[in-house]
Amino acid sequence: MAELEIKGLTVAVEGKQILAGLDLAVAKGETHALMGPNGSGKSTLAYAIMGHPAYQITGGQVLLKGTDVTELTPDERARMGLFLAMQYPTEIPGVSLTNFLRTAVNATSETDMPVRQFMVALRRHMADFQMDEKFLSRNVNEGFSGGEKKRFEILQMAMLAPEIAVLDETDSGLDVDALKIVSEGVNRLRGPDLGVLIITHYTRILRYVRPDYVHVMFEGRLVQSGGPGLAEELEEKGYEHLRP
Amino acid sequence: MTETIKDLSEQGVLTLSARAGEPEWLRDLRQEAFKAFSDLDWPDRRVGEDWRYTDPARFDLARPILDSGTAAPAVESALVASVDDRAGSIRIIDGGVTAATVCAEAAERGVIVSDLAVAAGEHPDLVRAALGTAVGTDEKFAALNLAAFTAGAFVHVPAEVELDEPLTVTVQAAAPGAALPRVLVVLGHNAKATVYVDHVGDAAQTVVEVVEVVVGEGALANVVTAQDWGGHVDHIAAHTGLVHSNGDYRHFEITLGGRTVYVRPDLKLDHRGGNGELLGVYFCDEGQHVEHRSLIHHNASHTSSNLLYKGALQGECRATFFGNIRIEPHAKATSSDQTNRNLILTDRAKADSIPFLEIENSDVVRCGHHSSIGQVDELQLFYLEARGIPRPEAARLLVFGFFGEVTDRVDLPGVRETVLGEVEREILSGPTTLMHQRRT
Repeated sequence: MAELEIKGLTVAVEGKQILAGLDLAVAKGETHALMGPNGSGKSTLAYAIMGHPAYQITGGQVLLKGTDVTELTPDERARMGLFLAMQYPTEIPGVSLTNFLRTAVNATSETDMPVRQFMVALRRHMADFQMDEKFLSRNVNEGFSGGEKKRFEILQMAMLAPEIAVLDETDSGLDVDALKIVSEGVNRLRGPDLGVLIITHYTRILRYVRPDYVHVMFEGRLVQSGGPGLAEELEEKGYEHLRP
Repeated sequence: MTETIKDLSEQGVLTLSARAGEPEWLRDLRQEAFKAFSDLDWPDRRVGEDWRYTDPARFDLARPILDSGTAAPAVESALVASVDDRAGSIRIIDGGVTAATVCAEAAERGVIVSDLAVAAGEHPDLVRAALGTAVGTDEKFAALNLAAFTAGAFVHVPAEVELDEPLTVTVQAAAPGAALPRVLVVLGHNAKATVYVDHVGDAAQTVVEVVEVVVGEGALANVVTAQDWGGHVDHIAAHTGLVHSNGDYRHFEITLGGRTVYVRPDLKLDHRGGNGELLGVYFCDEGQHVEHRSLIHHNASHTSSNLLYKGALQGECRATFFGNIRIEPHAKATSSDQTNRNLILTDRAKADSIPFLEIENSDVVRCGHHSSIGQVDELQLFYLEARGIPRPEAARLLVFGFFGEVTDRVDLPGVRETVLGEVEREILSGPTTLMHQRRT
């Protein structure tokens, strides 16, 4: 059974239909890349999977481990093992990174991790993502550079240990060095217990995080799926020849 | 005293003074204040700005003035209760001082914590030089207080004395009626002290209060005033710092309880190089009406001020912040900044935020103001929820973060924990708060 299964999903934003019957399945241990031109509905899919209230599911299903989650709140989905690395991480003034992460870790694991153990894990991951100690006392995403925000997203993924991770344009706005750090982070987390869906406009990140499957999206539905070779083909030819 | 505020007479004031055994100069001061009080009109919503947002009828003037202390069990706010080591403390219950103590070490260094009427006799020079200087008689209720204050606290920290432990003043409402407490805090030059003034109790009272703080040259005063009343108290107060050269007045206003709280946290920078920081948090819920009306007066050169007030509202209630910065023509090279932010947690809550500037000269280093009224940010909520944090917990984090910006600027014992603890209690007690809402 696929960990994440999307069946005939239709989604509207402010009454406008964006997804028009999308099917996609991601199993544990697999890495999928979802590509497509701007406006094809990639980010809409990411938000709809996570349960953002502005993205109204008008038909179809999102199944997590066989359970339809379309009626569940985002926090319930997260606690079932779903993670979304956001394209535009939100700044949260007054809430320290440490406090936020500890609350999130305890909420998703539904335990009360001892502070010491939590700090050890956090420091280790911060070192991996080359984030300075001083981030510990900073507020969530406040004043972070674009690259710092993306590194922090993947750091959260590392701390929360999800079973399905959706990475929404995590590569956008990153320079080569930051892209490497982020990609190495994702690669470290890949394994038999994690399914990854990388949403991207460009093939760049796929050179570092090699996908098992590549899908191309146009106007709210998948138009082609294939192996990693499809990404290379797209790099050469662009998207236009796949327009339905 | 059988008189009410409404029918207060000169004779009533004289009787009050005589009964307290006050010296002649204080009796005369009260008499002058009574004259000023008589000459001023009662507040009228239709006249001027001062009462545009708060109906003066909320203050029942027909209640009898309480002129003695009540033998009631002493109550303390969570804030003051959290302070274990105190340099001294004084308690006013209704119309009388019921206890005043100063620790031996502080007493040895000349620190005075005393009933104001007693201090007026024992330390006439100290009291006379300060009483009425920070809060005079130019406003009806302030004049009323100086004319007829029934119980007063006097705190004096001599020059060069630095106190590590806070001094506490508790004002308690125990019996129904009208109470007119007055708190006078004086710091000599280069003195350093922290004073907590808390307001507790839940009797049906009209409280007309003055807290005046005179900060000597180069002195540092940390003053925390906390309104932790029950829902039957209507409180009008002037909380004012008068700052001498290079003095520093840091005031933190915490308004949580009371049916009506109308406070004027004012700052008088009358001398060169004076500095003031006015911080405030308020949590307004069902049935409450809160107004903070601040005047920061830059009346000398090289003075600086900084104001940050933040409030959250839930249920049917109203909170107004009105802030004015006045910079006089001779007050060159001043710097000031004023920020008020309001967080509306539920429908039916109403906030007003009115920043105001009167700048009379062009030689200003900095003068800014910021104001906002908004709801909890849905994007922020989503971000936290997407990390597995349930909505009530996410909202709590955001409200804490909102107030954290203010409490992080205060490094005084008990303040941060108490404020956030009280905010949490208020949030959880709200009947229809965001904390309990499910997304529809």
